[in-house]
Amino acid sequence: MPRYGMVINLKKCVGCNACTVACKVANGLGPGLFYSYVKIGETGVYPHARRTLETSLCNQCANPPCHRVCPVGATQIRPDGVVTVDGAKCIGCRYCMLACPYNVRVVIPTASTGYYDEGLTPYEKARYPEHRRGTVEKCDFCAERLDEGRLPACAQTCPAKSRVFGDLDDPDSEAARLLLQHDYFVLQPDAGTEPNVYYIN
Amino acid sequence: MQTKISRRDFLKTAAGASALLMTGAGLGGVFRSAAAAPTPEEDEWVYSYCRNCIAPWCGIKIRKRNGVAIGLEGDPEWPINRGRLCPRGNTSIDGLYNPYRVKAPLKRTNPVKAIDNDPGWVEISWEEAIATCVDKLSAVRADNPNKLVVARGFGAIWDDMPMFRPLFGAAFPTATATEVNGPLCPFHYGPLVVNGSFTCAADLMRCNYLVTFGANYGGDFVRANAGADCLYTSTALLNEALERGMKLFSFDPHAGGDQKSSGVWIPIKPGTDLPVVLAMAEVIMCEMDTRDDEFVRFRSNFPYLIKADETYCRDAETNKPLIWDEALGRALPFDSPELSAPALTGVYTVNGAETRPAFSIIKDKVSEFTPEVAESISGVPAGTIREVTAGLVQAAMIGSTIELDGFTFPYRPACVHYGRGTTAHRGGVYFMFAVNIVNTLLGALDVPGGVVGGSGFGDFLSPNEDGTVLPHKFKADEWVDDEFNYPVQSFDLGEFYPHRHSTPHVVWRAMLDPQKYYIDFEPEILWIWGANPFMNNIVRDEVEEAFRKVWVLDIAYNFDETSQFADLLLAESSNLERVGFTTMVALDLDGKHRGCTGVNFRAPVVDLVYNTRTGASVIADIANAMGMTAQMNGMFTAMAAFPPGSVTPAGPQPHTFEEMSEMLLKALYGQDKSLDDIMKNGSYFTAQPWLDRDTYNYYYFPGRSTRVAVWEDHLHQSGLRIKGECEKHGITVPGWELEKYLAFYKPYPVWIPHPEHEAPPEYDLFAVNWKVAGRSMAIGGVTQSGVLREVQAFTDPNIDTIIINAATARARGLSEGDTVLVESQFGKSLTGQLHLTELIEPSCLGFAGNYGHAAPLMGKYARRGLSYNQLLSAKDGNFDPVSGGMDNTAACKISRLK
Repeated sequence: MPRYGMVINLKKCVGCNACTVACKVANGLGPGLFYSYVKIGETGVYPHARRTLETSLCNQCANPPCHRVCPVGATQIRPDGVVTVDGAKCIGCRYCMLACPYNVRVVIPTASTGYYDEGLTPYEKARYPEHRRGTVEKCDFCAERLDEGRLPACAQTCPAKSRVFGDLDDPDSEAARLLLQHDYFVLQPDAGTEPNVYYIN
Repeated sequence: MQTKISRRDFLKTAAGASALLMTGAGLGGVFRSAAAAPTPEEDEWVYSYCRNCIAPWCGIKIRKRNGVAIGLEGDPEWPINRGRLCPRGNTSIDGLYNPYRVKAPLKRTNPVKAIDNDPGWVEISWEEAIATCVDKLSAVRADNPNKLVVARGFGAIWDDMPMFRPLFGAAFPTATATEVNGPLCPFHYGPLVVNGSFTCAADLMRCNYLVTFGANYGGDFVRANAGADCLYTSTALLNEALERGMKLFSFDPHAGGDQKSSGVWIPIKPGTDLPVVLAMAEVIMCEMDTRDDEFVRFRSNFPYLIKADETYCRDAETNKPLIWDEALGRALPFDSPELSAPALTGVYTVNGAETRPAFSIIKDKVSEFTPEVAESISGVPAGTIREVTAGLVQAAMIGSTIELDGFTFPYRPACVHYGRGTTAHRGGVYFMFAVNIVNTLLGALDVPGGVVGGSGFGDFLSPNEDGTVLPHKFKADEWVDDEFNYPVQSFDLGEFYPHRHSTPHVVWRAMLDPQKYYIDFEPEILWIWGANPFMNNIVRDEVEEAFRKVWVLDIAYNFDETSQFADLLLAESSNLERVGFTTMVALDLDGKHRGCTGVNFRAPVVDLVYNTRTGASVIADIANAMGMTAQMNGMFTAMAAFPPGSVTPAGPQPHTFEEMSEMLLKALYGQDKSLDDIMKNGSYFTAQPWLDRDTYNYYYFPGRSTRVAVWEDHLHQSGLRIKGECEKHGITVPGWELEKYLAFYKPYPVWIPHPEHEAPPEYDLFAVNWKVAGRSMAIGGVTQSGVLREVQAFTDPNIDTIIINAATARARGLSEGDTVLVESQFGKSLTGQLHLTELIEPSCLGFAGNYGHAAPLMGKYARRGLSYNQLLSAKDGNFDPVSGGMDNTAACKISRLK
């Protein structure tokens, strides 16, 4: 059984947010909803300043606090390590959102508003019903795509080759190799969550 | 009387009306019927290519359920992008269902054209629309074909090639055809004279030390493929080069994606790049006194003897340019087999005239530009210029070689390159010349590690009769002289701007006042496609007037400013609904094949959303109805490059564009192929068996077999020729003092301060802008995309703000979020919110991209933000009179609004 993870090389990321757009399209997310994004910032003082990037997505933790607090078992851990939310079970209590130290969960709004004042587009009409109003969702490494043998949308689309997805237990996977070759870090290691999203910088 | 448009009511009406039409007949040459009723179970992936930038080679797949596109991604099987897409490409579904599209053919009923005036659109049938076009075009053709003006933009590029150009080539061969998108990216004259190629780029595969000026190497433009045309915009290739250890030094007023991680940002005042590059040449030629001697003496025209009038000294017998041979002590034709020791310095009397090698003249000129002089102009410390230059020379490893696939190349893994930030200036061509000089001194042209031509591989460096690179026939038109007609015959004034990339800003003025531009007739029809001069040509007031003056036919995708001023709108299908094809020369980023070529086809992949058509398809119908069938068939066949012996649309038999495209598909890939297959399975490509060796054009013209032109005699001759014509006719270049114009036609670079450097002192800041990943080229309705604009606003504080250096702001008592008025030296202004940053040179105001559409029906996302270009000027005298490049900077003052 694989143990899926993602390695994000922040040196390569340029902040174009192709991943963010691809994520929204792959998951049919309406206005205000982000499973994943890259925020552009900066550090240093002119002229020794540079652009910085802050990425956000579910860390697919091996020890996920969101999972522990879910009262209805909607948040689940798959054998491949991917943390999913079963929308049919979710009651929208949002305990998971409070428990997640990474603030990566979103609530599906109760009103289905699209991007345009002229009403929902055919695409929006087709995709928005995939989400249950009032429930909590998040990135699940595009679990349905994984089951079809495809990459998560963000990793597939990344024009910078910054996002590398793979089986961390497979020494031949590019993701595993990157972790062997580079110093890496995870977000909030002290939180004890054991994330499966790794960063190289 | 003017009436305000009610956006929502109008859009509703148009949508409703077109839905009715969609079910009916009258769709003419539409390839796939929109009326097919989908079965409830239909859920499939279909294939196309992305057209949301100028390099439309990325394969895409679209998930279609019951005729609706519900998903889209890069095609993992397509070798050019391997599943990757940029943010623009990922929003192609928004381009399809964009509610602000033109939904049916429309004709204007309100003759008063104004940006906020309701045109009184009335929906008409395609038959009526085409009949109107045929009547109008036939009448003007019978009267004077030159009364037609054709304007294209990035929105039509590629789609236009197979149809638009053949039609006009056949029916209106001498009419004005201008590219609206050109003059803010006039990037081509420089590479034409040294690479023989329309574009050039640093060899990211092997370069170890890259110095860029005003360029964007993938960090902000962002491309998911690496077309050979401009592989430097490939984000993945840049990353791989940096990972390999390439050093990147970016001279730029603003630090963006390129400088983010491994690159070194060297801030520079806008428009002052030329003095810095001249100083680099000064350091190499005068202070270090070093060079690639073989390249300089035998592969450039540095040793050509120049007379006092700055023209070549030619052999009396053969007319060939002469070189002084130090060993023989006499002048020899450049290609003499006796030549062994070309002189670079000294004064020689030849044929009674005193001559000097071009090298020594250029050396004298650059000697005035010490790094200290460059520092006083650019703000870049002299020590930095010396340090970067010394590093460049060292990294170039002059004299080293590399063997690739059994062929020995010079190995020069260091070079200087540039982008539109430097070339879109008055003097931009001189800037490219200066870079050419530095790269020639290094010997870093078309060899591994250097600056390589981007138009393809093969016969690009073949020499002309003077021994210097003859620009390749592909896109060499910028180098080729235009005939001088008097009276002038075209509104883009090729007579005075023979080497223009394009001069649409001149076109609008000349249409308004033909007499001033020596044109003895009035324009009657403007046919525009995929172009928006209101946003991009700077001279919006003149564009408006020109559009009022003539009957405007617009192949229109959305209700932009162009549509708002048009008379007839031919509603254009979105990228996912079109038939089309593009030629492709691209690299495989994952290395499975070294490169891929071919013609990439597409067919509609979803049901038509509205009553729209592929632009090229409408043009074919118009051409056939005008009786131009045979001519157009012939030109299509020639332009599409059918393989020999194939069945082509030649002859008097009329064809739809869809039929012609399918004939090409069958001719290239087999008689069993169809556009339907393309939709279901994707297009075809040819994996090239290229070796590494084959991708460097030095290989085809090695050693001493050609020479790059650092002394650009051809340009100089053009200036002299135009001067002679002016004197003969007793005229001047319209809008220019002749001497001021001719100052840009020297054979070597000259530093002439730009308009922004001549502003009154109260305009104490410079406005600059740059490309952003979510907009680059604004094709396919990306500025209207709800998803894309939301993502930008959520992730990037630079978007839709006025960006200022934090210290500069503090010194003026300005704070983050302040509402400010920016007034440019040209009497134009913008209002917006400040964003303070450390990532911009202190004398600058920055603008990310170009937003702020004015047309009422463009939608809230495109109307948001700021239209940077409106601060600039493209008046005669303010642009580059060689390339036509508009000056991309304005001096500005800033004040806080209460």
